Formats: sequence, structure tokens, C-alpha cells
Amino acid sequence: MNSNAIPQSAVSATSTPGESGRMATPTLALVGVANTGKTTLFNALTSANAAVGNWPGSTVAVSQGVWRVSQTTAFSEAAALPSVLNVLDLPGTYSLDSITPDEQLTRTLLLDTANSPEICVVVVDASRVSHGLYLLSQLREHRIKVMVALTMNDVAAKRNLDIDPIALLNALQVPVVVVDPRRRKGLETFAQAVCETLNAPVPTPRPLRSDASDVLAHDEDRFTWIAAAVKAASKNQDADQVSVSDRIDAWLLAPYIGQIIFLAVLWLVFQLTTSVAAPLQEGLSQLFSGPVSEGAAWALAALGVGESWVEGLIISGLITGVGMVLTFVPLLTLMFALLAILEDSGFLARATVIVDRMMRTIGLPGRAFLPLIVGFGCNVPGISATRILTNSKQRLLTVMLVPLTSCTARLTVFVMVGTVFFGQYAGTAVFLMYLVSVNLVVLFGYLFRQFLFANIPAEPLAIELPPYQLPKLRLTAAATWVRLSDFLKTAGGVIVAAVCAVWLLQSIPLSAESAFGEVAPKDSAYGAIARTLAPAFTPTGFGSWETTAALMVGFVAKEAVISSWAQTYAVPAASGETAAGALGEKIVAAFAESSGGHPGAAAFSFMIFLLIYSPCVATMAAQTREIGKKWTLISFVIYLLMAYTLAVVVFQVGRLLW
Amino acid sequence: MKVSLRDAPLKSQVALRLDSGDDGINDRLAALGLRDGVVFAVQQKTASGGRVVKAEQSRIAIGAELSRKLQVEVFE
Repeated sequence: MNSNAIPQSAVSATSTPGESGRMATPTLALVGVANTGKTTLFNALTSANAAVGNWPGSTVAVSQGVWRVSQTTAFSEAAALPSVLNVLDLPGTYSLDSITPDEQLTRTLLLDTANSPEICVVVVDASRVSHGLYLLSQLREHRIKVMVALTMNDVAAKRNLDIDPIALLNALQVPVVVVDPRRRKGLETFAQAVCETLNAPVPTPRPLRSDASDVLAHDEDRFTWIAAAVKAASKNQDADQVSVSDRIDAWLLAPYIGQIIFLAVLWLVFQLTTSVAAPLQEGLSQLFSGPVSEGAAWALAALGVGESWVEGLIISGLITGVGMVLTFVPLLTLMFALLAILEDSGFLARATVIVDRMMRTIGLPGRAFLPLIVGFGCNVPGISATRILTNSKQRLLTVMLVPLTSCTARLTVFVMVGTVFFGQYAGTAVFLMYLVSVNLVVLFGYLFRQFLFANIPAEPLAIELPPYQLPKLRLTAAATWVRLSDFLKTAGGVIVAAVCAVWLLQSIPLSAESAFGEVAPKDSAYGAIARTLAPAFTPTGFGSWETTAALMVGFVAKEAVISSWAQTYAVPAASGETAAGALGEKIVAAFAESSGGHPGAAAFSFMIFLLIYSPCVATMAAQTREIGKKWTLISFVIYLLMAYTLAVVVFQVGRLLW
Repeated sequence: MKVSLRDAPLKSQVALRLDSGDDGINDRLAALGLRDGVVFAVQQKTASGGRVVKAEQSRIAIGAELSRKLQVEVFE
């Protein structure tokens, strides 16, 4: 089983479908085309009792949750509905034809296992009802309990489309329920229909009139069935009416203007996730390094273990680690909320269209642009933002590319190094690093596509544009909470453990002269490892143990490179322009020595290495959560080797020039 | 008159002509309601060179590459 699987504790104590043994709690699977309100219905049913993650043995994202029926409706007692149902939100799919891994998984879960869900709910958008019924037509050809949840009825009404659910029920011969999960209306009727369907016998599959081997005739048969049902259920239909969405799209999808609006929205997302979150992050960081640490030190002193290794473990390990995790909360909250708004409003579907051609050059759909842009703020939410990609292979590739985007943590180091080594040209040096970062994303995207993911389907763009909607605050909050809590649960522990591991290495003395937890960095196991590794960096021009140690700490957090230098050189930490003091002089002197008199070339080589060599531990934790240990390790090794190679080339060429 | 979707005039009504091609693409188009012979309107050009078409109740965005490949018969 994939270690990256959805935590089952978040769902129930019973097994998942697909594993051996029939589940005690019935499972309800939500299926349907993307953007029909399927996930909104899932959120309305499960509230916060949900977990988002990869399905065991795959990289396909499936949400699982528990629907506590009694909390949704008072109906359950009267109708003998189970008090709890497991709910699966399967990837959006048009049909059961297995083209993408997501569709294959959906098909497998619904049809090919002995433990398929007890009931399958096809979520159909009432404003484009015929579109959602193709999947239903295929499901009706199998022995499976199925019903229809008709959503987006308000949108249909605005477009003067009136669908009669009773007529649709009669035509399809499956239960049809009108539900508005965005406003939590119709959930009681939905529960009643679920109960009736669960208690009813498995329906006889709909017979196809055509020859079983004639695929086209099968399709024609299905479309005839769908057309008849839609005709019977449509009271009045004016498809030619120009809708508000049509008018908005006339601007939003238009050449030039569309791209400008799209870039403006991305800029806003980038600004909000960095500028707005930055002071909150800083405040939390200061809170943990200041009052919280001081309070803990006082409490530990009162307990008689002050200034001991216990204090080091608690303050430098646990509190620092937890503080680091929590500093991500404002950033991630904003990011997830903005993503939910963009998704709920219908904007993300347009993003796919607008930058489709550009992203296609590296084998990704247009919407992959967003996680990459977010990555320039912070790689962690950038990786989490890849959840908007429905194709698992495309998501895998994007997750592997996000660490190449130069995050703001790297920026602090680039500004410091740039100021110290390049003075008035620091801005140009930093800009160059951003150019390098963008080019690396394109280059590695191309290389990965050629050598690792040649089988990524080069899907031509053909997507339905959902109508625009005003985002709902409750839905945004629920989606944000599910994603945030999932990150904290899965990545938080890894980050705290990594910070504690660094503290442990820094606390272990190599001689009997110092006690555990009371040793200078250069005399610790941490210093010894750095001294052992340092000669390997001689060809890069920065082969001093102090810089090697800083890069080791940089694995935990990139911005900690500066404080590591400050600690090892025993001068106050500084950043940006204020760094050109005593710390800057010491770093320049160390680089001049390790590079044989070419500190500028060594500094540029160092920045290249810092950009590529490894994402921070939080990013790696997020990567592991999304794509599993294997691919995280593969990308780590590739980037480490590439960082070293490029750093050597840059230094060796650079030292010939200056 | 049979032309590529990309060459069909904006605001025109066209019928899709799926002569041959990739079954996977044809399946996806069919699932979106775009089957051989289906009549739809070419609504607008998109920023990435594709087209937005309106078929029955759905508005579908088709990429530049696919717009070049798809053959349609222009009615008006």
C-alpha cells in the first residue's frame, strides 16, 4: 500500500473499498463530470470529517469522508438509513472509458472490484443536463445501484432552462433528486433517496439494442436514450440565450485582454500569498522565538532542567519545529482560500484555456501555471495547489517542477549574498536567479517529459466551461480547512522531526571536553559531517565547512542559511542590505579562500546550487504527501546531481572570467 | 463546405464531421456532446488560439491544436 495513502483514521475504522472484506459501513460514491458541484456536495455531506489524499497504490487524488446522516437530516431514524455512510469523491470523469489514470481508477472502484460502493450518485448539472448523463448511461449497463443528484438548478433557471426531475426520473428509471449543496438545500430529500436506493434491489442493467461489438452503435444507443430523457424533462429550453457567462468570457477568453486579466489575477494571488501572509508569518515566528521560547525556558528553569539538553530539545527542537509548521498556516490558509474561490467561481476552467498553448510545450495543461506561479512565493502551497490538476501524471510532473521555482526564502539568501558579493549589482544578480529559475522549469519540464513521463497523455484541450458563480464563504472555508488540516497532519510531523534531528546533530559532542547539548557547532557531529562533506564542494568554489553546514541547515529551511552562517562565524545574523557588516566580510573572506581568489564566481555558483540542490524539508514533506516517497527521492537525487554539476560548471567558467 | 474548425467563421453554425482519427479524442468529444453530425455554433476565438463552441446547453473550449484537426461543415 502506498505510504502516501489517505489516512484511514479520518474515515472510519473499517477498510476501504478495494481491500479485502465487505465494509460494515455502506459506501456512497459521488461521480460525475468536473465542475458539476460534486465536491461541493461531498463537502456539504461530510463537513470537516474528510481527508484528501492519494488512493492506495496510485497517485490519483480521492477524497474520503464520513457522512453523519443524523447531522444532516432528522430523516434517518424514520427511514432506517444507516447513521453513518462512507463517502468517496471520485475524480471528475465524463465516462467510464479508461483513458487517464483517474478514469481508470474510477472505473476500477465502481465496477471491477468485489467491493464496489453500495451506491453510486451521479452528480449532474441541471444547466447542461445531457452532458452529465453519458456516464449514467454507462453505469446503467452494469449491476450497480445508482441515482442522480441534480445540481446547479439556480444556474439553469437563470438560463431559462427548466428541468422536471420527475419527468427525468421516469425517463431514466433511476431516482433523481434536486439538491443545492452550495446552500445546503435538498439534503434531506437526498438522504431519503439514498435510503430508498440502498434498500431497493440492484436494478437490472439497461439492455443495449446494438451488437455488443459495435462501439459506435453502442454510443448511438446511449445518446438516443439521453436525448429522449432530456427532451422529456425539459419544459422550456432556450440554449441560444446569451448568458452572463457568455458575456464575461467574451472578455476573459479573448486574445490579449484575456491574458492580461489572467496575469493580473495571478499577480493578485501571488501578492496576497506573499505580502499579506508575510507579516503574519513574521509575527508567528517572533512569537515562537520570543515569548514562547522565553516562557518555556522560564518554566524549564523552574523545573530544574534549565540550560540543559532538555531545554535545547524543547526550545531548539520542538518549539522551533512547531513554530516553523505554524508559520506556514497563514500562507497556506490564504492560498487554499484563494484556490477555492478561483475554482468555485469557474475561473480555473478559463485559466486552463488561456495558457494552454504555452504550458503544452512542457506537456502540462494551462491550469498547471497556477501552482508554478504560487511556488515563487512558497513551494509548499505551490505543491499543495497541484490538487487542481485532475490528471495524476500531470500532477506528478508539476509537483516535481515546483521546487525549481525560486521561493521567497531563497530570495532572502540571494539578496544577502548578492549585496555582499555584488554590491550595486545585487538587484541584477537576484533578477538573474529568477531568470535561471524560470528557464530551469521549462528545461526540466521538457527533459522529464522526454525521459521520465513520455507516456503522459498529450490530451488535446476539449473542456466544458462551467457557468460563473459567486463563491460561497462557507464552501471556501470548508475547502480551505480540509486542505489545511490535511497538510498539518501529514507534513507537520515531518518538519518537526527534521528540526529535532538537526538539533540532535548539533548537540552531540565529538570530544569528552564538551557535554551533550553544550557544544559549539564546529565541535559537534553536525560540524564533523560538514567538514567531511566540504571537500566535495571544492570544485564549486565554496568548499568551506561553514558554508557546507549552512547548506545542511538550508535543507530544513532556506532562510536558515543566513542564521547558520551567523552562528558558525559567531556574528549577529542579518539579511539583505544590512548584511554587508561583519558577517558579510567573513563570508567574502571564506569564499575568497575556498575559491582560490574568485569569490564572485563562487558566490554565483553557490546561488545556483542553493536554488536547485534540494527543496526545504517542508516542501519535501508536501511532495511526499502528493507523489509518494519514490518520486520525491527521484527528484531529490536528480536535482542534487544537477545542482552540483551546474555549480561546478558556473564556477569553473566563472573563475576564468572574474 | 468542409473546413477545419479553426477556419470556420465566428458565429457560424457548423456540423461536426468525424471522418477518422484518434478514438480517444473522439470518445472525449462524444462525452462532451460533440458527435459526428452534431450541429453547434462557433462562438469565439480564445486567447490561446482555440475556439469556444456552443453545443446544446454546453459551452466547450477547444484548444488550438484540436481546432486545426477537427473538420466541420459550415451551414451559415
